[in-house]
Amino acid sequence: MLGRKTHTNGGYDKDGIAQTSQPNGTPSPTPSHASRRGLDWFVFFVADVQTGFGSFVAVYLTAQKWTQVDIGLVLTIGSLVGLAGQIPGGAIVDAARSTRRAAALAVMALGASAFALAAWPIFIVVLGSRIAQAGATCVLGPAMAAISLGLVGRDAIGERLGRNASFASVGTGLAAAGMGASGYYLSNQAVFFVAAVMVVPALIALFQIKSSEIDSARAQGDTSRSHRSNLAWGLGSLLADSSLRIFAVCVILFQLANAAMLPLAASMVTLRSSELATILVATAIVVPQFIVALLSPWVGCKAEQWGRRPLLVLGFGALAVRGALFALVINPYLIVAVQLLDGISAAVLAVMVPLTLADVSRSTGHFNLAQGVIGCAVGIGAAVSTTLVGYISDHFGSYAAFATMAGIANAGFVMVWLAMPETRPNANVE
Amino acid sequence: MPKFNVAEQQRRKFNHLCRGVVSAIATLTTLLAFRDLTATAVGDPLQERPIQLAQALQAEPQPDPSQSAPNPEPQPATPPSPALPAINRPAIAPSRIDEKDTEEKGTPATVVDGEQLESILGKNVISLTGEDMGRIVDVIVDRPGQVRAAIIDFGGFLGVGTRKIAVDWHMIRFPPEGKMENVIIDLTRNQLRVAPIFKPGEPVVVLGRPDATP
Repeated sequence: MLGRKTHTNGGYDKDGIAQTSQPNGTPSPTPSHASRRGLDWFVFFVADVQTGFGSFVAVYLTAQKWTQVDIGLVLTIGSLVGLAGQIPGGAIVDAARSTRRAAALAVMALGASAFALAAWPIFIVVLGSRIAQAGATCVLGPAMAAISLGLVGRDAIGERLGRNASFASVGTGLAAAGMGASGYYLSNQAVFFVAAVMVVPALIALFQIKSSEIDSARAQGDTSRSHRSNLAWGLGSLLADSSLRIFAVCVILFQLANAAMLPLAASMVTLRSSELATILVATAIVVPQFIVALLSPWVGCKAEQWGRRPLLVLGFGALAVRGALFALVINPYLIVAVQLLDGISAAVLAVMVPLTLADVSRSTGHFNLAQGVIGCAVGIGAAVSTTLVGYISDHFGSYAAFATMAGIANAGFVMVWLAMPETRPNANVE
Repeated sequence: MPKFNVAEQQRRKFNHLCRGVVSAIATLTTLLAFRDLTATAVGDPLQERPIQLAQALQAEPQPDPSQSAPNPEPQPATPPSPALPAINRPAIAPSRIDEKDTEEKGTPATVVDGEQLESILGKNVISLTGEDMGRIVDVIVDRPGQVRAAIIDFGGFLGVGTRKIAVDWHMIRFPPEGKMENVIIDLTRNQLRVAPIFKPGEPVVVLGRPDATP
């Protein structure tokens, strides 16, 4: 650790070209067991809190006698803020002096918004709660990846991101199952109170991570200090990198195909099965989360061994196959089985997106800003997907909608196969 | 070494702070969670006894004949409990027997027993056999003002995979006795799940009765 501290300018030389931060001879950072456990459980509890804020908010507000127009308005404003805030959120984490403190503030904002949503479900409070939650998510996502990068260094970042994705999906799966149970046995309000309470163990876990072990220079992508707060310069250098541009297009294509698949498939399950419909939909939501939990560490490991491209091809291929199968199967049990393929592509993307960005930001810096840019692309892809698929399935039926999604997924698969370069740093091979 | 002690002290302070925060949040949560229960348990103390639906324009047997004429005509914004007409009477403008100038007399209104009424948005819907059918999320009215259908958000899990189905308004009823917590409809899950979903602006498939008369 002492050797690493002599890189005072984060590895930049005079011309602004970054050196690799783990050159031969410098020992890799070895964070303590407490810090690693702290990061594990922080990711877990944050996923717990975040799960409650999905489609369930609409159910809760309906039970509070909100009209559909008001619910739609509040959710749309929340999504827009979440979209617009991705890039500023990434920039904030880049410029923050302590990534840990930024994460702590964001988590506290999440808890406050969950509490406000449960206690006072009136329009102005719910609107503020959605905006706060959207803003907190924009900061929290990059912050978690930045803390991971700062903690374990570039050599071990693949495995660390795999572990993060694993803990996050276990948290999401358990939270979804728990929410279903508590919404059934208790009240809809209880779900958000529990989400608010989950913030406390998240903060405790966060402060187990020793801040001295997080190399903030590396966490922010080894950007030189003078450029760290310069948003225009950062965006310019990011967009100039061709591998980042290609990756952004691939991710947009992925989200265009992926985002609307689960809701449409779940609606088909509701249409076609009568007795076990609720359980089937619950299975379709929860089981892929556990598949992600199992696969992510493997993905993280293999990303270091095989390189990034084979796994990206696997993830996009799984999505294309899933889209094609959804267009063909009728039986609701088969629909749920096909939905399990979602676990494979979700595991791959959850690990590969921050990993590729970490690779790319070796040369461009601005790791968190890059995450913000990709997050923005993901958000746009998801929004367009929902609207497009809704339009197609209204006018042409669900078969056409699934076929369109499969076609888009195929386009993404071809692009990854042909155009996406390998971003794994060659320094590992030496 | 001194740095270690300071770090240790800070950690202990933080642990104490965490415990305090957890206790405060737990207490607040318990209080708020029970808030709903206590509100329903106390009930409405002003509601003395259930009454029949009363037309305000028709005469009610007045306990105090020296007060106004047989037309009480309360303002629509303040429906007083008819069980205490003598007390509420002074607040209302003096009525006249002449019915021609209704505007000067006030707007006709009806006082209905609040315990027999219930808001319908967001209520759970169940079938005759008790199956869960979803929630009522909207009410569809035609141009002359007749209520035609209720929109039920059916199926799904945690809000994913739900379908909006239009059900004839005349199929909606509350349980004949007991708490008016759930809405009952005379349809099964199988009938509801195969119905086409409701899309505003397009022809609406209203489930329920074979004839279309509202």
